[in-house]
Amino acid sequence: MKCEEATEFVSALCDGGMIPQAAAEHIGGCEACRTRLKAYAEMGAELRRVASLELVNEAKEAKEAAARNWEKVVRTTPNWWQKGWETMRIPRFAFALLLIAVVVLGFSLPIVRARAHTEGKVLVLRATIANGRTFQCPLPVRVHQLPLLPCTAIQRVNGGWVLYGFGITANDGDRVELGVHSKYFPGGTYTGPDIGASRDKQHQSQSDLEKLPETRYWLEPGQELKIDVEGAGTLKITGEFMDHIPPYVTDMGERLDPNPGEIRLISPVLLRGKEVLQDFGRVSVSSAQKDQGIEIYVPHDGRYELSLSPLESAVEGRIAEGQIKESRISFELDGQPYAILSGAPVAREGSIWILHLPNRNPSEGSDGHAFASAGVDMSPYLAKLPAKN
Amino acid sequence: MPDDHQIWERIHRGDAQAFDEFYQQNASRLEAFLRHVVGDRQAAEDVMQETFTQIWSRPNGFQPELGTLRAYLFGIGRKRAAEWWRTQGPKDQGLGTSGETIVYRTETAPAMEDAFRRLPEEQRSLLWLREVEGHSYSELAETLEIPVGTVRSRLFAAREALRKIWQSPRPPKEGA
Repeated sequence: MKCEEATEFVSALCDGGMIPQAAAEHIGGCEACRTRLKAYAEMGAELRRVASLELVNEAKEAKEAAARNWEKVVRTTPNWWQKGWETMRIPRFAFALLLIAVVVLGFSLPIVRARAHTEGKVLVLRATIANGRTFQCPLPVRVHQLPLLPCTAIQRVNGGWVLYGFGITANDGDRVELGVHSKYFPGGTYTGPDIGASRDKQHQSQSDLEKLPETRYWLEPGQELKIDVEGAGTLKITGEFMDHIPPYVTDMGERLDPNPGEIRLISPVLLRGKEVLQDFGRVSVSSAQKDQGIEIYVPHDGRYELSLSPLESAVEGRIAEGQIKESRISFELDGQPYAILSGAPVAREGSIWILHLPNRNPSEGSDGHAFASAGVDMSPYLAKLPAKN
Repeated sequence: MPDDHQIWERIHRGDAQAFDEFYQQNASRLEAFLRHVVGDRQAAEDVMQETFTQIWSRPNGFQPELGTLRAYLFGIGRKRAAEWWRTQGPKDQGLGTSGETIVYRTETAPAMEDAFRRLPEEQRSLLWLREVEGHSYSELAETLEIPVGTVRSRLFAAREALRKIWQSPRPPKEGA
């Protein structure tokens, strides 16, 4: 028997089936077939391992499923689906994927990752503390008990740091009950929970966040909540309902023009020649801290680090000086033209440095998917400028 | 432990407790399967709800002599997922729809997930049901509505397709 004839039986072996004697003899002495058999077995094991991870996460959700009251579902043939749908409670975890990770470090590091569209109402929150920069975040109204506080921020205030986070704990028609966690951390070094934790640290991070003092308030659109945070001042919160998550919701949306030193990418698209390398969809990022920049990650292509300060190729990678023209960045790598198109002006500056690190994973966990993040430390890549005499 | 026929009889009679137990036993596994078929967590959740709603509202489609209740459930789910795929499909390949689908924490899992996602829908369904759910050839035949004799060759084709993608060159790990 030849390999081509035996390969299908290799697959059958993985399913625990018996195979013809000739096939069994061939596989026993054929290195290629045995390699294939090993690969199939490994693939199956890997799939089951992946599934196991997911099912562990689902276990908690299954508990919620137990709370469903199926008796309410009325069996009527003409409108069975409608009645069933109306009387069935939609589990809250369905909307957990709408998790919005918003991180504000200091006064100028908004990262917004607007996830999937939602069919329900969204409360766009605006929070200001000590007359600082406004922090905005969208909260799907039907989301309860998200795995992390869905909107969290850290801001520098009064010589220390204030951390606050919001979650919706109840929804009563036109108003929502907010669970507000807040705490002030004095001193120059932030010592609170890591709200931008990588996924493998998020469990601990969640636990730390939940330990913060929580107070609940009802918020109606149009009203302003005032919450005293000891040491930090008054946290003012307003909100408005929308029927979808807007593409970006930080205060960069209030003014089209970026601030000096700020890089903004709104729903960017990375092009190489005429090829779309990555469409980042609803992702919007902005970075304005000195020595920080933006990182975008394209699966199988690597990382692109963007900085308004000159970068140098002291590390593996390719450097390009790009030109910024309104909402477009143009640059060239290895003789190939690249462009990053953004939904709004990118920066006030005319030049930007791009470091391409092929074969590199993102510096923050992105689960292997396309990714963009702001506030990335560029200091390892910054060019060493000659000292001034 | 009640067999499929007994469970179905109770569900057919409108026994909410029986249906609740059936739901609890199968919901998370069905959702995991659907998530890999449709590639979108929220859509998978919706399709799963529709699947159970259909079973509860119209408990007249299962025929114990033709297959197991599990195969029947996954068959309905798969049909609804295929319908979703045809009518809505993944319109956004960016972070908006696919980026949040699943959480992985190891080096190899994203590669497997990535490779698996690139398979056609039928091959994803086939492999998931076989390798993860442990469905028999006859259950696979019922779920996918193909002859039992075809299952083996389809499984082989799916494994081979996945192997080629999975073992194709990919970027080395950072720092490598």
